Amino acid sequence: MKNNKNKVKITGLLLFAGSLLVFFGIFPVANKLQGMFFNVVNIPEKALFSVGDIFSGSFKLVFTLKDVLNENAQLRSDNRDLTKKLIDNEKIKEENAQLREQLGLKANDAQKLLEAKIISFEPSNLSEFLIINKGLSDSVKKDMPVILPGGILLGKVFEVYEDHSKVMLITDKNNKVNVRSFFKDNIDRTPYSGVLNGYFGKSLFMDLIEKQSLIFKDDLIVSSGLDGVYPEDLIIGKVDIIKDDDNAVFKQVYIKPAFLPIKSTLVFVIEK
Amino acid sequence: MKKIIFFLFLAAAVFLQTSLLHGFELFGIVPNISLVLLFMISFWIQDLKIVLSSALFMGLLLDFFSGFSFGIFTLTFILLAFFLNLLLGALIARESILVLFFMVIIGTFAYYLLTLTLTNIFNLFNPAYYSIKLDTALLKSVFIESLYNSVLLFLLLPLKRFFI
Repeated sequence: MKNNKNKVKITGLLLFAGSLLVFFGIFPVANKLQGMFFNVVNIPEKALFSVGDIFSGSFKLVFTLKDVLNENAQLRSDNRDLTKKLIDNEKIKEENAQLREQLGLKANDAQKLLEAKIISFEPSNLSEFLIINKGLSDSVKKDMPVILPGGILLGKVFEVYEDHSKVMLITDKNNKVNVRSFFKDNIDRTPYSGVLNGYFGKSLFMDLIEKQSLIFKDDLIVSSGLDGVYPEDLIIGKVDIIKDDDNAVFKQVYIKPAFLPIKSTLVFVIEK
Repeated sequence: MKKIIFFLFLAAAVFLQTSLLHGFELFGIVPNISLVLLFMISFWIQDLKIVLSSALFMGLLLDFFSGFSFGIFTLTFILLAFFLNLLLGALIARESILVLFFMVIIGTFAYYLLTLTLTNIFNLFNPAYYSIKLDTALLKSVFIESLYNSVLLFLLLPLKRFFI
């Protein structure tokens, strides 16, 4: 009896302490502690991340070998097309600059990118967050978009602390992105648009697509810029599964995120 | 010295969960090594002080890495540890590994239920903060994680001699 009373007392004290922690979490006190903590664990976390990256490829190969081989063939073909496009684009850029000079127009402001590193990932499967090593002292602000090299959208800054920030990934259920399809040249199809939500298993779900839209697997999806949070033309992913229910008002698609798997810790914060 | 090594081991498990283990995700689900260790500690160590201090330590570390309100995982782990200790003392035998296996599966569901409840309670005081909805996608995640955790349990069974 006395033993049970002691158990309840100890647990009650710890729960009270835990509740205080949560309330302090609402105030900036915990943020400073977190900042100090991340400065300490930064190096071992980076090392563990690199080790995990080495093993993850072999681990996932067991389950995805066939997909990997098909993807490899597709990527080789895309690579050849893109090399040609790169050459054409350089010519167009040169022409554009010359025309602007002749007409007296200023060049468009390029986006200002702040380089950052991923420190760690969310420990639970309830949400999709990661921590980066840039914060208030680096002029990072809430809702700034975060991308991977190559213009691949990762997410947005959710909370900012002194020298680190929490980034909510686009695969998080609370993150919504206005998106549209992007077709390569010479395709006679009407682009479609919709709203992107995070879904189970780090996938993406695009909803509110017009019923008459013509959608194919592997269509490229990019941000539309209409939500005012994410700039336009950031790569989201490719269409994986198409849901076209006769009774539904809209079409829906599941999208494979382009940012997965995250191979490098290098990210960029788009400063507005 | 033994206690220091024990807590360093728990810290290493949390660091693994937030870094290396993300390379081993299946269907987007990462195994929860901290939770599995909590179940193992509750199952084999009968001293409530050690169980609760392990829960407090791991919960605090998880809160540092988490995007949720600071303290949610601390509270969840403490509550889980307390209820497990009660159940294991009064109702369930500690001898069979099968009991531990089912504890991990059911306990994963309980862990998510607790975290969901606590997050929604504390969101009443801070509505602009992160919210979680209970939907089929979440239930799928929990189901897969419970199976993945049970596989992880069998991989961690050789650590039993450190807890007894």
